[in-house]
Amino acid sequence: MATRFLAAAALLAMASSTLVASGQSAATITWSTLATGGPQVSDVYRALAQQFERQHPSIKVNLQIQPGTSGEQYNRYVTLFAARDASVDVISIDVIWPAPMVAAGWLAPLDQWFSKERRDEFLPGAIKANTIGGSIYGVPWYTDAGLLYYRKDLLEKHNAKVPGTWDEMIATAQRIVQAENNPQLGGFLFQGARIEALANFFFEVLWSNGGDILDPGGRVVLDDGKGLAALNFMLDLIRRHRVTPPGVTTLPTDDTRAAFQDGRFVFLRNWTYAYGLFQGEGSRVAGKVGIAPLPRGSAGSASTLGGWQLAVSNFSRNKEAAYRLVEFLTGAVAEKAMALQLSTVPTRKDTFEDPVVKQRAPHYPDMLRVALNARPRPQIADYPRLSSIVQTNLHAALTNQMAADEAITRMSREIRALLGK
Amino acid sequence: VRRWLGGQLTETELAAALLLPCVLFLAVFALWPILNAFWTSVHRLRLDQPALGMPFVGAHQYVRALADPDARHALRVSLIYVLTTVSAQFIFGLGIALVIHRMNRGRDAVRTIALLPWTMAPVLVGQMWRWLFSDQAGVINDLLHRVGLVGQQVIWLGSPALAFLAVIVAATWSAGSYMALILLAGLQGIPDEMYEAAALDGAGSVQAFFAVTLPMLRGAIMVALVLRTLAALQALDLPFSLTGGGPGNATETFALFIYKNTFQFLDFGYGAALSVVLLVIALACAGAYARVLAPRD
Repeated sequence: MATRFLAAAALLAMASSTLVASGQSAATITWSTLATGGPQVSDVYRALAQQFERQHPSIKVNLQIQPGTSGEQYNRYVTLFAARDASVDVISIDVIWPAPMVAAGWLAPLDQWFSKERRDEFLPGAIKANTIGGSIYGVPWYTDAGLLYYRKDLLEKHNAKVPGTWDEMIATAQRIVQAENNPQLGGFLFQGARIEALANFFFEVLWSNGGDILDPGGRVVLDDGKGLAALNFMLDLIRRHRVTPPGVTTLPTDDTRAAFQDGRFVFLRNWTYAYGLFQGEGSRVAGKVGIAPLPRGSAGSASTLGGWQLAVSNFSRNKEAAYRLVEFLTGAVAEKAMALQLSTVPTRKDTFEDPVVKQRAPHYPDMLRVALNARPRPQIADYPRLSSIVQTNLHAALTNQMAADEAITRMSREIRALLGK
Repeated sequence: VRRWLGGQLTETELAAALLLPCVLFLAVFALWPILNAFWTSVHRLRLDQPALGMPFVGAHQYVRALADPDARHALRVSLIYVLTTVSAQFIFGLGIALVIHRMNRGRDAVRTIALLPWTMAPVLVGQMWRWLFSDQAGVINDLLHRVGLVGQQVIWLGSPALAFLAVIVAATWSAGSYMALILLAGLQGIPDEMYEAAALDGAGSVQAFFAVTLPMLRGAIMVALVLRTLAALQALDLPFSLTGGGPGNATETFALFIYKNTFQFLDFGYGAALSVVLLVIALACAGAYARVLAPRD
């Protein structure tokens, strides 16, 4: 109620000041964002918004913080923009949203402000994810990528190197699990539930062996043999090498994090957010966790690009002021503040070089190596449906409902049908 | 007009005036949404792709639904779900009702306790059973392991057949007691003289059950079956929170499939067409029940 009153008052103030004066009136920019991580995160955002207001006295920031998941937030924005609502100026968007949102015409192109030189200050993969049809629609805010977490203590104890290839990882996992002879200890965990991260792990295996879902021309190449090899690799982890328990098919992202944090696995594929929790209070593996890029296949190591961008709504009545806020939040000061206070992985190259960040977060160089390797997921307007096709068929194969080759054939056929429409 | 203002209404007019609010309510909250769903279903409406507009596509969405193997699969899952859960709930519910009916003391307390599962939101029921069936830390695996029935962890929710079983168990636990309550009301309405007459004619308790109890329960059974069938056809919340339709899409009910297309893929046209299909199926089921179970005079 109070916020609604304030918003109304702000609108009134805006309207009257536009009538009376021109040019120098205070503009109000509404920044809407998802805050994963609770009040600690929203406090940092609020402080950043206030800092921006002090630097730009003519611009007021109205910060709207929403709870929930990325998918819920996406649907919120879709309903807002489908109604051509102009009440939001700056939004934070997940890395998989630019393609569908740009296709819908909801994001303002930022080329006139976000120059090519400035884009070079950011990680190239993150810039690529925001570039569609030659124009840029978002500024990378913080990044994320699939990582390999390993138990430093166990590897040292058994005199094992950090595995560089998938084969080495399997062998190391088998050796340590056997030597430890602890029924509670498993080898390797990925996100096996039917969720986005399952598709992401499949992409990572596929890419590491030189395969892909679509070729650069947008044709489906999933069924060229490499897709089947990637799925067979995942099945082998469970059935042949027995480093991954069959129950993995019920584990979503945070359950795999909890299992590793409980000391039950040697290796884990997960996102960067888990690192802070592993080192935090009450963690059984605090101080015992190392991070590395995902192991290499025949074509090297690849990980899925995650992360968040800031974009300007195409319905905003104040796009330039909105961009100023985006510029500030993705600037060196703000990214450093977020890296130090929230452990988010920066998108600016210079933040990784910052002496304070380097000292306080010694794991960032490792994360940077991974982030540089990260690849965007297929950039098509209907990505959510493509992902659902991949997830459902993978899960059916992992749970013995269909053979691997049938799953890949179906996946390819369904993706072709999707793109053909 | 003066006659109306003076309160001089004929009986028909009074009835119409009293029914009007109800009719208006239904028109706004039931009839209009149904018509709107039908209207949407003959258009293409992608909320996330406004550039497509909302072109009229005729029966396209329905043709698409008929040709969609995933839709057929979801329909099959729903039909199996309805058959298994409603029969299990009926047997379970009738059992509870008969036990409570014969109790002389504490009947009210037991009836209240038996109804507790029904008071729990299906989403919570699903979540609770998801934890119970968890292969890693679930109570069910722990119990089975302790009594030595299984050697290693059973991955309940990772195998299609077991996951389906888990859904049926949860649904039966949740709604069986509701079924029991309706059947109990029916049982209490059967006059004792009927049983006395049956006993005089030399009927045993089993014979009495089939000759008196079941026929007299016809009305209550029909109400219970119709309500549970329609609810099971729309099952979304419980499978949503228990299995999410998985593994693969082994437990993806038709309602979950509609939800996925409408609210995850934001394909409102297709979602609306699927909803209309579900409505027709639900009406057909209700009609069939009415025909089979209606009291014959």
